[in-house]
Amino acid sequence: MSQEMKSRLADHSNSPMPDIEAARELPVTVYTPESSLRNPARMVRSMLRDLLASRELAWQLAVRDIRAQYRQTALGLLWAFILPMANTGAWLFIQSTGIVTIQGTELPYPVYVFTGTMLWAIFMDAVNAPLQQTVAAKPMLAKINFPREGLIVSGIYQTLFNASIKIGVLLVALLLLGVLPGWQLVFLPLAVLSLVLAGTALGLVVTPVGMLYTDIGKGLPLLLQFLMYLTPVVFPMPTSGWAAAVFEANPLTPLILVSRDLLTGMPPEPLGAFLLVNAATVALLGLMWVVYRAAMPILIERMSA
Amino acid sequence: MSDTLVRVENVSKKFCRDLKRSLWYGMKDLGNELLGREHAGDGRLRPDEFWAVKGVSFDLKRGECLGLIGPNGAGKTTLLRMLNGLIKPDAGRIEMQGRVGALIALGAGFNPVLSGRENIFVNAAILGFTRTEIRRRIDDIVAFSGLGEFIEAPVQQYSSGMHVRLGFSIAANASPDILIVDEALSVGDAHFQQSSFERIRKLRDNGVAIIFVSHDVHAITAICNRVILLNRSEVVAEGRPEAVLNYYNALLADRVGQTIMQRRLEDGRVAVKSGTGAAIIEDITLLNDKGRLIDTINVGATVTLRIRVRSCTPIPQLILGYLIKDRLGQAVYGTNTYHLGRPLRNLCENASVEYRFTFVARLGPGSYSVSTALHGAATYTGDNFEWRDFALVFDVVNAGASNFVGVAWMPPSVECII
Repeated sequence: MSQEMKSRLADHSNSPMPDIEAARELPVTVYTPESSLRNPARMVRSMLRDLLASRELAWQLAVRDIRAQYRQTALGLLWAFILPMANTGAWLFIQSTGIVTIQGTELPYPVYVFTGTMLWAIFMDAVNAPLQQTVAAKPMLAKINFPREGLIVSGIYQTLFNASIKIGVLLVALLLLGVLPGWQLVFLPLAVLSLVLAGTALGLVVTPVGMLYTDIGKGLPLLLQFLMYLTPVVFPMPTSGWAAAVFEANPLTPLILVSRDLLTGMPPEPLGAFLLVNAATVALLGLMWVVYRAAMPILIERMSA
Repeated sequence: MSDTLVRVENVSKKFCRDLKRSLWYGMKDLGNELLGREHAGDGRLRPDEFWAVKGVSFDLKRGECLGLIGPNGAGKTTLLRMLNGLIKPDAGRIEMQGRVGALIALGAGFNPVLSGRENIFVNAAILGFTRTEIRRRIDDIVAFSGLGEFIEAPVQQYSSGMHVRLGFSIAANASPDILIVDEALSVGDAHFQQSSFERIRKLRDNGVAIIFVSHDVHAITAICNRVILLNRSEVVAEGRPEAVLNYYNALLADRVGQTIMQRRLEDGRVAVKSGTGAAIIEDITLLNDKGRLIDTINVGATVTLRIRVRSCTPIPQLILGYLIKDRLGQAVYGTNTYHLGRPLRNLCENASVEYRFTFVARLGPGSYSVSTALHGAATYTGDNFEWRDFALVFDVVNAGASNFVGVAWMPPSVECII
């Protein structure tokens, strides 16, 4: 062995050695066939502990993915909003040529569509993130034990990053179109966050099954597209008929409406429904988190290494 | 406060052969788990299922290194996954005390577009390092990996060896209480293999409990205190490395599952004998240069190894091989009559043959053993008639030669030019 190698190895003797006193504090982990839901208190404690432990990991994963994504592209950050813009352009074109007549939006239609598609794009990012992140981590999942919450939180970080770019572009465009948002803009981050969390909760619903059966992942974009037509994104709220009932019942409606109101300086409405949906989102998120955790060892068993 | 860091009690795990059915069982298990019921049915095999690990138990104390060997498909990786907390056992109980580290998937989480340095942060975070810990240790990690300026290059430009070196230096820089090593040392150049092995030895000496899975016989003998042999999901042998490795050899040579006999010698070591028995060794002795029976020889003495063989059935080709091993089970010199150009052809039933191998024993002082193999093909893995470990033991003493250490006696003539 070379002298250099020897001195490098000597340096490692400074690694902390577990001494007898510290040994008393060693955490004990027990694995049995028993269901983790048998002892709910223990489960909640380990969930919170893992969530805390995954903070740094989520950050590193998000930084890695964002850096790698934009390092390889020529257009760079443009991609964050180019697709919703193209989508908006398509709808404006349809409106102007009279192929489909869309009437009854309080705001000028370009503003309505642009805000709607950007907000919906943020929601779609959030829904796709959990399954995407979990599938991308497949090589690691079956080999290393790391807090899986990190994958989901990393997805949320990345969605928020992309969302901030979209919102930035949106605000610039709105100013150009002559719409001045008021002081309510301060609350916009909360509305966007609620949109992201709702999307994450929905994404978590499909993730466990989506890992086992790959056609779920393929069906998701289709489902979301269909859902978009039932939410006031490109179509205004219908006033009568069964369509009105569906739009009213859609939990995503208040989220989109309130976010749009905050962006365009209108009084946020409907606020009551908005808060209700948020509460339901939090509950769903908690429930799906439990399912995600319980499912992970079973999924790893059935997926190949 | 006990010193036992790992306690495995009667652990079992089953898998399903058919993919679609396996996915369906996965859904059912998920349902059971969420309803608070016990995992995977009532502990019996459902249709198309098989046991990957069955009834495995062992303990591991601080500073101990347990070797885990076995043929491919024996259940080693499944057992490791359960120890790592990645999958749940279907029966039994696993208790782990302390932080668990693994040298299993080196370089996990690497993104090929990012540089080595950027990827260190990602991989270290996955392994559980905090950002301050990473910043503190990053120089150590970069130095140990030996990548030099390549650390700033994107990882997609790395060779697989460089990949592993970087992954290893990150993982080896953690301070776990229990370390699981899964054949991670077989990649990399000789230099790197040595330094990584040294690192693991250092961790063991520092009190880390190590579970070591490898096919490398030398590595196992060098670092493990105890070895467990897993075959077809069950533990078939457990004990000191030499004994279990001998049994493993016999198992590999004798796949048809014939009887492997073990005999305990006076000094506590275990002799293993296996084979079809179509030809056997009747007698094996060591003779000095005057033809007298001895069991202790002098360094550099001329000795004759006399082996008498008898055939129990007609044999088309018979080859006799022997291997001299030192006290630790490391091979010193081995050959067979095929390589020496003296195979026997067309032996009839009940023929008696005597072989005399005469050589100069250029061995260092110590205790040695001789293993023998009688087989039909060019190596012992085909057509094994009889295989014996510890067929003969002898000692070498130094009476007369100048003092030296080592298993080989290679006295130099010295020239000193001032």
